[in-house]
Amino acid sequence: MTLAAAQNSVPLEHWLTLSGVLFTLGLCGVMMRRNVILVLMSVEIMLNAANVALVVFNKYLIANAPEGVALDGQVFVFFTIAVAAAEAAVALVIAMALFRRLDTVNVDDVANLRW
Amino acid sequence: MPSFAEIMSVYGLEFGLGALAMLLIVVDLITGRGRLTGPADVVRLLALGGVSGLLIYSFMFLHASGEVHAFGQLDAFALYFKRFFLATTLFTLLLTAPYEARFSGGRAEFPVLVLLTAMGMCMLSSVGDFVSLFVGLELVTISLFLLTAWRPGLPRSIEAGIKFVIIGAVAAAFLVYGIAFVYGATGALDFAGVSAAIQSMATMPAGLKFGLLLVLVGLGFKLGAVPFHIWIPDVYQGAPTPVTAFLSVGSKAAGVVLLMRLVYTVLGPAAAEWAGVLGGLAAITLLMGNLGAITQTDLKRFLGYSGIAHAGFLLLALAAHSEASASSILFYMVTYLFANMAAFLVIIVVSRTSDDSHMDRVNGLAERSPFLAFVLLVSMLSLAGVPPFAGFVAKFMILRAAMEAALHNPALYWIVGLSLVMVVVSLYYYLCVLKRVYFREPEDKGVLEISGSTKAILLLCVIATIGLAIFFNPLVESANAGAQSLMGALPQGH
Repeated sequence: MTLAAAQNSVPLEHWLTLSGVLFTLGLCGVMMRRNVILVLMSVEIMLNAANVALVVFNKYLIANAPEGVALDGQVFVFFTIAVAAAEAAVALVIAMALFRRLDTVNVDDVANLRW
Repeated sequence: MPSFAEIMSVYGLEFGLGALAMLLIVVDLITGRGRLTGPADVVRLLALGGVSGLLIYSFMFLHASGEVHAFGQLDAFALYFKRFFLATTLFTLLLTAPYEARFSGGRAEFPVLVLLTAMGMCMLSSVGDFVSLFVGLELVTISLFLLTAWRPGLPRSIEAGIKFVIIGAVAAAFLVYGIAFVYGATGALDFAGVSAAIQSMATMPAGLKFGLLLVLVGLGFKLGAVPFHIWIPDVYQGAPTPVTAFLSVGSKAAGVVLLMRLVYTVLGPAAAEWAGVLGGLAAITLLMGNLGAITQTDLKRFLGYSGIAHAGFLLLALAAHSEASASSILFYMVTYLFANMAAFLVIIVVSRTSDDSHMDRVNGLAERSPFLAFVLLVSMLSLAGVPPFAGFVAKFMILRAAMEAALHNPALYWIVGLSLVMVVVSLYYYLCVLKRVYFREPEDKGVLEISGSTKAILLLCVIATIGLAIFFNPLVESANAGAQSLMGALPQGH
């Protein structure tokens, strides 16, 4: 069995399960972690789950219709990576301002604004 | 490959805004940062002049065209929203002037980020595929993260910033995950392709429904719809007031423009299946916003909950799904712009000494400054939807469109009924604010000084709010044109 054939033998459902598990893990992390940095890491996991889904959908669209299917799903992934990097930079700047001003990175400690 | 001229015909304003932002950075670098902070600050004058120029340009030289390019389109709907976003940006920059003294730094960078946000917003009104939708939306969101945390010395500004970042990033992840499923089910990322694939399906597969639901939820974040409404009160309260004003009008309109494009153009006839979901979200959003607003004691937080309630109204109009309801949304946004900008400018003036926005600040405002009290009266009654103010016409148009749609979809009667009850509830809490203004004893009896420019902006908002209730026809006509272009033709294949 060639390498390409081996790769094609992984069914779409398995990939989507992987992506779903990653997304759920990220979401749980966002909701349960209290450290801002870890919350931001969990968000990155969610975005990467979406990237996995985009790439495998593209791959299976090509496999089902070899003619005339572009690589737009995989190109989109480059956009999400770039945007996620910008987002992470801004998020870390604000997290740093939070640490400097309030001396904490725990999200439970920043709860002056409520109700 | 589209030619440069073709791209400029659609995204000319965005290039203008981007170039203006770059120019501001260079001018600030040359003139020496921090030295020019007086009223005639060259950076601010350039920003104001540039945005006014682009707004005038859009009215005089830009014309809607039915041409649909692969990268976007400039139909009457997009043009209406581009002008709306430029006007919002202009108001934000004007509101910044009386607030600016409270910034510890970054006075020149502030208008740059506002312009970049505006660039993203204008782009969103023209987008034709999910990739540029995502990039434009994130340009808006990321710039707004920074603007929210623009006063790092102030704990509430930082707190608002970090909450906004986390919820915004999660919403972005939902959006991309949803787009991935829409792509997987339809094999296309451009609106025309997705729309064509949806038309050809007898029933929507579960994966597509799941994806569309996630996209809806991710865009609802901008609009302030349940379940991503939780950021609104905190961020509105903590952000610098001009940013709150920008968020409340611009960010909401960015959500509206995308949801309308998706529901009317991409879903097309299939949107009927989604009326239930949109109607349900509208009902919950109306409840959360109106009931949450009753107990508020902070003006900006209060306006946040009121903004959630308004998002509920907009969702109701989306659920109605007719040309009349689309046109009523366009009209509604403009009345919301004037009423909200006036309210936030009043907050900026009354919080000048204390730097907070507790409702006690407006106690006895009628004694301290009858003009400001009158402005707040007009703005609150317009938001509540009381005649003879523009907000009444807007709410009336939405409810009439929803009633017409309810003939085919009886479930809408319930939501219309609920929204009527909620209008009464909202009247109660808006009047509570006005009771403070007219009947409470002021904490500080001193007369509030208002500068001439502030007075002029407030007067403009008041005249517009009353004028639009009487002479609504010109605006309704251009809203109708926008709605027609949105409903009119499904996008052609590229």
